[in-house]
Order: sequence, then structure tokens, then C-alpha cells
Amino acid sequence: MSEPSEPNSTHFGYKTVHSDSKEELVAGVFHSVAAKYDLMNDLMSAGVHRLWKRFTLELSGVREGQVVLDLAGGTGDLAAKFSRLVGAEGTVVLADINDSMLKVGRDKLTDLGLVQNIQYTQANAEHLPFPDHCFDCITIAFGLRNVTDKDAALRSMQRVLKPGGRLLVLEFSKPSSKLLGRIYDAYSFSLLPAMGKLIANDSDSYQYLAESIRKHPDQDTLKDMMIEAGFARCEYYNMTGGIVAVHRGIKP
Amino acid sequence: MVSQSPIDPTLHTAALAGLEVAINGALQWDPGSRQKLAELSGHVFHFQCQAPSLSLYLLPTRERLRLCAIFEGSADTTLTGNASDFAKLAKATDPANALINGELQLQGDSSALIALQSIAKQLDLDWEAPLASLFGDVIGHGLGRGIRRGLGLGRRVMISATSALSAFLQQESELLASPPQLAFFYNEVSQLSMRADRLEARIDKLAGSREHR
Repeated sequence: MSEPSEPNSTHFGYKTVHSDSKEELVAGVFHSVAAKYDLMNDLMSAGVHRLWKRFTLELSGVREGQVVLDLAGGTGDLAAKFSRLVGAEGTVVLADINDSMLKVGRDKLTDLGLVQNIQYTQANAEHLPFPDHCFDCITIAFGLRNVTDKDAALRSMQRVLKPGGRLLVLEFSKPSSKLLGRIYDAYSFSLLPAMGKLIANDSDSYQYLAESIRKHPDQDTLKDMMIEAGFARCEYYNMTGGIVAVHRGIKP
Repeated sequence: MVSQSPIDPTLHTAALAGLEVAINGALQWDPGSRQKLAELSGHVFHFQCQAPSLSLYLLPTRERLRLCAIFEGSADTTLTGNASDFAKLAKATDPANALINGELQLQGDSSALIALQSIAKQLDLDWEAPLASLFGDVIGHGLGRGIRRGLGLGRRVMISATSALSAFLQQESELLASPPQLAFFYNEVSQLSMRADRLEARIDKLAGSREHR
């Protein structure tokens, strides 16, 4: 991944922006798409995002009574499943930096009757407002690429995990085949913004989505970043030909 | 380390998700099987298929059945073998006998596996429900009807092919005897065996009476 050359600058899609402004720009994107986020996810991935999340859930190894943080949890897909897994004795904390997404997630989970063991927190992944060693598992699904300082976020997650606890990062990544990469590029830079325009009347946000995926670290770089942040036994699983990868690391 | 199974996890997960919906859908209308399955709650089954290479964990809970490709922990029952061996066990009327005399390798609790096999045998899976939930009602119904027709055609082709092969081997090529011919032959052999026994007994009797003289 190429880093912006200017100090205190970062990527916002293909644009280079000041680090302080990325958070606000990303917030703008998600305020805009929150209401139709689930529908767009289903359309963009043909429902396959549910399978990616299901596999992540299997890797989590979460059991009854455990405490789980679903970071950048958005509309609560993973939190809903974790809520059933941890049962009445466990707790799921759904956290997102964006209050619009959090509201959509809370309404959705409440409508599903999942209220007993779920808490909601508006939190920045770089500075998690939780004490050290308090979660058995942390997941961040399609959220890390929107974080300004990814290394700080990984360190923060490492801090709040219990020793032996696991971090799972589900994120778009680099396709393993060149042909698939070309098809995927054509899809995400032409069809995706058009769908965003048609369904959510917002092509810019989906243009950002495609660009931010290309700027996100590839599989091996992200794995190295996790090791650097203090995680052990780091590994990743490519899914759908590497379009998506799930990374797993354990806090020693 | 890059962890990668031979099958893309997306496909593996899709297959397991579809199967899980189908099984739980069938269980929804079968309270007896659901009750029996609830008794296995907490038990972890691990099925390792070597050809084709697949791994599957089956976790019954009080409400439903979970199928996973990955499970962190140890299984209570592990069964290893080829797909054909698993199919034989699934269809077996006597699963204990199939386990003892079959090719499958069993580790752990066999009684739970026998209970699971009897539940699985009774289940009538409806493939339309998971397909409809994955692809929508219209496409799901079409695919479900296609699968049912395909399976029906497959069964008819199998019965017809078995019958034709049997006729060819017995009547056209005369390589094998027909069942009535075999029965007649076995009867003749049995009669001959009995006559030989009787003859042997008579000879023994005659030899004994000669010695007494």
C-alpha cells in the first residue's frame, strides 16, 4: 500500500486529505448510506456478505457467557448472531463511530427482539473507551479501511482484549487471480457507483467505497500490521478468490 | 501463515448454510426428531470426509442444529472416511453393524452417533426453503423443482440401469445365473450334501455291524 507523502495526511479513497478531516468525511459517507446500508450490501454482494460474516462467526469460536465487541458493527448483522451465541449470561457490545449507523443497528436488533444482552456504544476504534483486558473476542467487519490510523486502532483493540482473546478483521482485500481482479475492478468502478445512484441516490459514497478498498492494505501487509500491534498466531483466510479476507490474531 | 482449505470458504459456507436451513426447516415440522436432537444438545460431532476432502462439525442445540466448517474445541465423536462410506452409514438399517463392519473410522462416543443416524434417516429435507431464502421465492421454487425432478430422474435412471445390466449379464451374455437358477442350484447342492451325509452314516453303520461280527 502506498502511503501519502505529506505528513499528517491520509487517504480518503484516492484523494489525499489531512488526517483530522478523514473521520468527518467518512462520517459523511455513512450518514448518507445508513438507511439503505443493508439493502445495498445485499445487492452489491448478491447476498454473499452473509456467508463472509457466517464464516467469520465460525472462526470467532465464541461460546455462551462470553463478552464480545462488534466494532464498526454498523447495522448489527454480526452482533445479532453473537447475541444468540453468548446467551443470557454473555454480553455483546455493538460499537460504531457513526451515530446514524448505530441508530439503524439498534432499531434493527430491537425489532428482532434482541435486547437482553446487547449494549451500544459510539466509539472511535483508535481510542476504545473500555478498560484493559475486558473482551473475549473483537470483530471488525468492513470497518478497518475507514479508520484513519489503522495501527492505533489495532493497538487499541489489543489493549482491551483479554489474554487469549481473539481479534477478527473481515475486510475487502486483494483478489488472488489477475483475471478476477480485472472483473472486480470493472464491477466496482462502473456498476457499483451506478447501483449506489439508483438505489441510494448517492454515487459518490459508493465511488469512495470502491476507492477505499483499493487503498486498504493487502492480506500480508495487514497480517504484518497485526503482528506489529502485538497479536500472536496471526493468520488469514481468503474468501471468494481473495476479494475478501478474514484475519485472525490472538492476544498473547 | 496463510490458511486455505482446498475449497473456497465462501462455497463451503454456502453449502453448510443451505444444508443447515434445510435440516432446521425439516425439524420445524417434526417435533419428535427435534426432541431427540435436543437430547444430543452440547454434543459435538466431527465428520471428516477424505474423498472428497471436506470437514464438517455438527452441533445440536436445544432449538436447532448448527453446521460449521470450523470449531474451536474437541469433538465428542469423530468419524473419518470416504463419502461413499458416509452414504452407506446414512442409509443403514443397522447403524451399529455398519460402523463395526464398514470402512469408517470412529473415535469417541458411538451411541450418540447411532442416535443421530436414526434421526437423520427419518428427516425429509425440503430443498426449496433454503433455496428460496437464498435466491428469493421465484428462483428458489424453480431451482427446487429442478432439483426434485433431477433427483427423481436420477433414481429412475439408476433403477432402469440396474435392471438392464442384470438382464444383460444373465440373459444376453449368460455370464451370471438368474436368481431362480441359483436357487435351484443351491437346492440341488443341499440335497446332494444331505444324501452324502446319509450315505456316510449308512457306511459307518454297516462298518460298525461288520466289526461286531
